Amino acid sequence: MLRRGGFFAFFPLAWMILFFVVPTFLVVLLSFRERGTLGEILPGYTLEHYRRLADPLYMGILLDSLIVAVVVTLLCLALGYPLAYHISRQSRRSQRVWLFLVILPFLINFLIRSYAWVILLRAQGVVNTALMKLGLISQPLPLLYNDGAVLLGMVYGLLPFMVLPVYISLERLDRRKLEAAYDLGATPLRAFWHVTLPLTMPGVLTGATLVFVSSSGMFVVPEVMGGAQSALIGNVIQNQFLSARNWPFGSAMSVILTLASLAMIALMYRAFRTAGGKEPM
Amino acid sequence: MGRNGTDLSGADRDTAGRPERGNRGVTSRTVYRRAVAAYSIAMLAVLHAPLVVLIAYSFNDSRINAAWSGFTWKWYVSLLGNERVLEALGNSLYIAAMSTLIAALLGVPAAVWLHRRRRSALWSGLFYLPQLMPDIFMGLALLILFSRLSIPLGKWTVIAAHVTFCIPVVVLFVLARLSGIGRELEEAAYDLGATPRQTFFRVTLPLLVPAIVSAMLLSFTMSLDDFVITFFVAGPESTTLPLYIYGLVKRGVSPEINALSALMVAVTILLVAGAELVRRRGETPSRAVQPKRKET
Amino acid sequence: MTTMIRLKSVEKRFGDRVVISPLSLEVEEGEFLTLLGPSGCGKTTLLRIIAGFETPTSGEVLLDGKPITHLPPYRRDMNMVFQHYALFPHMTVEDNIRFGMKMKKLPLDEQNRRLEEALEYTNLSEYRRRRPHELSGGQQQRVAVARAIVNKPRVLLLDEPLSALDYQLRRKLQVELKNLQRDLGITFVYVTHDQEEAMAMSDRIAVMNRGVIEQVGTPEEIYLRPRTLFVAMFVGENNLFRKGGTTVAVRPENIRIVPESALAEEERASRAAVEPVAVGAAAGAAAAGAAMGGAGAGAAAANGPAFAAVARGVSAVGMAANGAAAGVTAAGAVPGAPAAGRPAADGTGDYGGAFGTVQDIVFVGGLRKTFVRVDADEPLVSGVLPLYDDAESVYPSGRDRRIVISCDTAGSRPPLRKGERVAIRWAPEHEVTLSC
Repeated sequence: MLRRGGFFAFFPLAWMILFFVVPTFLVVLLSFRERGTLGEILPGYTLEHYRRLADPLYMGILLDSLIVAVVVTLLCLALGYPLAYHISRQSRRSQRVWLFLVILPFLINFLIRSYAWVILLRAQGVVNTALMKLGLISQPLPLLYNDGAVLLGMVYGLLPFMVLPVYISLERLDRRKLEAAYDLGATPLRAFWHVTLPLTMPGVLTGATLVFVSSSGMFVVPEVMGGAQSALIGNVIQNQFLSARNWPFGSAMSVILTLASLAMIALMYRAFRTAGGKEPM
Repeated sequence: MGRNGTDLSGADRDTAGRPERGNRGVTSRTVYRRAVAAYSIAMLAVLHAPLVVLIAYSFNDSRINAAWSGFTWKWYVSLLGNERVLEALGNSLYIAAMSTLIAALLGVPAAVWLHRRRRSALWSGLFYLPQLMPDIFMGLALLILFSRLSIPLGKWTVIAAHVTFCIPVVVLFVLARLSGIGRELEEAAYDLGATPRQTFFRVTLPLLVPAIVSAMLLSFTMSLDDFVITFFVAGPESTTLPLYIYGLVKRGVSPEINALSALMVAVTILLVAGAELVRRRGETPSRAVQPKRKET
Repeated sequence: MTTMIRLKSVEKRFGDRVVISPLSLEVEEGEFLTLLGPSGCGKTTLLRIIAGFETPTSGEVLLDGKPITHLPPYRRDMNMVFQHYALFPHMTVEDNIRFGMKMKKLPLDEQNRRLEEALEYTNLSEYRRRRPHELSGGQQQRVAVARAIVNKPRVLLLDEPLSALDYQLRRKLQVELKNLQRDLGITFVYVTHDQEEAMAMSDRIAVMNRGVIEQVGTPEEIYLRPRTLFVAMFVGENNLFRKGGTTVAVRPENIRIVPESALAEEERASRAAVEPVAVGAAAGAAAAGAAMGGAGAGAAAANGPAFAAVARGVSAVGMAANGAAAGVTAAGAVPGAPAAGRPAADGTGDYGGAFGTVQDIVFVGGLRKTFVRVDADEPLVSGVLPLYDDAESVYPSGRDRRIVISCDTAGSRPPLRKGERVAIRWAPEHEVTLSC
């Protein structure tokens, strides 16, 4: 009777294989193909795209993107943890309200949210207009179209990805352990560092993973809020597929990106695991 | 007041009002707590501010100025007259509806199967892995697939892509619910003479409905909102709302975008609130009942 | 009496792990059989094999003579009451109870008839439209039972159905279930780890341990005549002694405690009934002599039947000498002369015995349990058996094997104090030889 289950699974499995596994292979395959002058795929395999990627220019971009992703992750952690902490200490009902409010902006389209920041931060935007009206500045501040703006946009967009898992971890925390620490004379800071933080590592890890993965491939935020200056790897990849019409090169880049991303995640797990010592959720 | 522990604020002063020895730093704890609370409220404000501004300015009578010129509905009205917008809206809705439906039809059996196999890591991974890959990778991977198979880009390529990232959501929700239900109910049904088929339709499925509906609502939202993947696999005739907005944004700020975005925000909120409500309502009576220790 | 269920060499393995070693069991029609054992002993697995939720790795299961080993649960004429009741949360009490009948496609009027019957019987009529989460634990349990019996199965399987309920409720429902079984005449196979429950409800009990059935018998048999070490120690409390090459068990209620001070009295009383014999050194010497080996037995016997009992089961010289030496105390108390237990006139007397110190006295229910720590591992007097000294003692961990438990009703004799010196005795007919 359990064999019946196999029938159930056929279609979903076939779908995932066709639309996930196969395309992944295709990308990898494509990254080794030669590109003709007009963008068509030539028969024959080559490593030229990967070699090209080894060029400091592209490596630089990749590195930048990864660094940005790491910075975004850390910022999200620093900004999101206290928020999650606060929520977890509310009453049950309050928690639900808080969570809803925190997740709400997150459900709005990423693009729209970035655009909302543009409205706020651009030269004739709300912030500058308000500041000028108040007489605090005479020239509009260049709040947009720089690295800071990109970071802001990403952190803003991905914060809930960090808050939620950390909140879940905190909620599961047994307060008695904290009480024991206080009873033994720990100051709040030390109690946090030695008790709370290690015990919530699973949540931190999950959040960090989600944020990192999302930010490493991003191109919308850099484009909308970073302007022409920002060339993160996401933008470059997008470019290869659109204007440059160099699909194999683009594929190679995205393969490297994905691998680097997965590697970072593995590293992160290793690093935090030794600090926390538990399996992520 | 923590749930698992006692109230830490009142009980830790001795009769003289001084913090007890074992609770050194209880005053600083309160300070910390207040600081964190203040921070959180500020954070929440920051999270919502852009959206509030966005919506507010969709009613602004001025086209480019950030200064307030007056309240108006005109941008919304012009949206209704805008054919491109309506077309994009129609596409978005159609794609979301189809994707959700197909994802449910595929996701539920997948979840049931995974549950039977006691969530074996390998097969679960296949369903959850797409979430770990960068969106951009998924998008272009599918683009390459379609191009290889010589499938022209259109509504159905978008639907296919959306289904692929919605299935994990359905699987997640349904699996979680199945775990909550537990094996006993299924066995009880067998014991009472129900075949596996009858058990599934009479016992399992009714209990899964809230989770399925919830997952579908969330999938619908995700599909409506998706940009990156859609960007790669949409054809010229199958612009969705997010894609349309992107086109507008590249050209610059305009109140129509505000209005459109505000509408999307409203719709999203409604859908998500709805999903939560359904899930919440479904949870309480449908949970597999654990015997309580009460008197008869 | 026909056999309703027969298990033939049923074995269950999960990978390399043997959960049930090949065992055979027969359940008679209409009986209430309980599978009793600690967690992990395999009783639930065995029940599930009977129900059809597990398939045995080898062996056969027969229902009324017909093999059902590989039949799925929905084709077996049995029903189960689950540990956590497994009531369908999205259905009312009524629909829950109807479920089985619906699956069997019984005609509607028959369904209604049985439904009313079941609701009446289990006192659930006024709850028929409620959902499971609106009921108390006891009510849910009744629904689970009603849902099962309404299908009129041949066999009802119950998997620790009362374990989630509190003590009073459990007792009440035990009685109800037992009455139900008697009224309906259905064969019950009941699983529990609570021996009190098993003893109270069952016609027969199968005691299981680590996948093996140690003993099958009526509650009385299990209690009074345990066959193995495990059964002796699992059901109720027991004291273990080694006798020759075997192990014997004596129930606490059969262990008599005689305070040292009273020992002399008893001695006098019993000897007075036979022949006046000089107490004191002479008696002491005679006892020592008697203990000195078989040759002395005759001499002992010469001193009267009172000592004949001592002569029985005389052990090696070394042990006796030790005992004699330790035993000679002041006031002419005869070292552990167990023969002084009862008037020798009836020929039998307390047999086994030793000296010890009272460690603790505990009151449980209406009983008084006295814990006595006996002096040494070797027998002190001829006939006394050293305590069980196997390296892998089956005493519950932490139980000192030199502690002997005696049980009697509170107030049945003058109270003892901790630290008091006493003699413990028991009659040979209360010894149960165990195999292990």
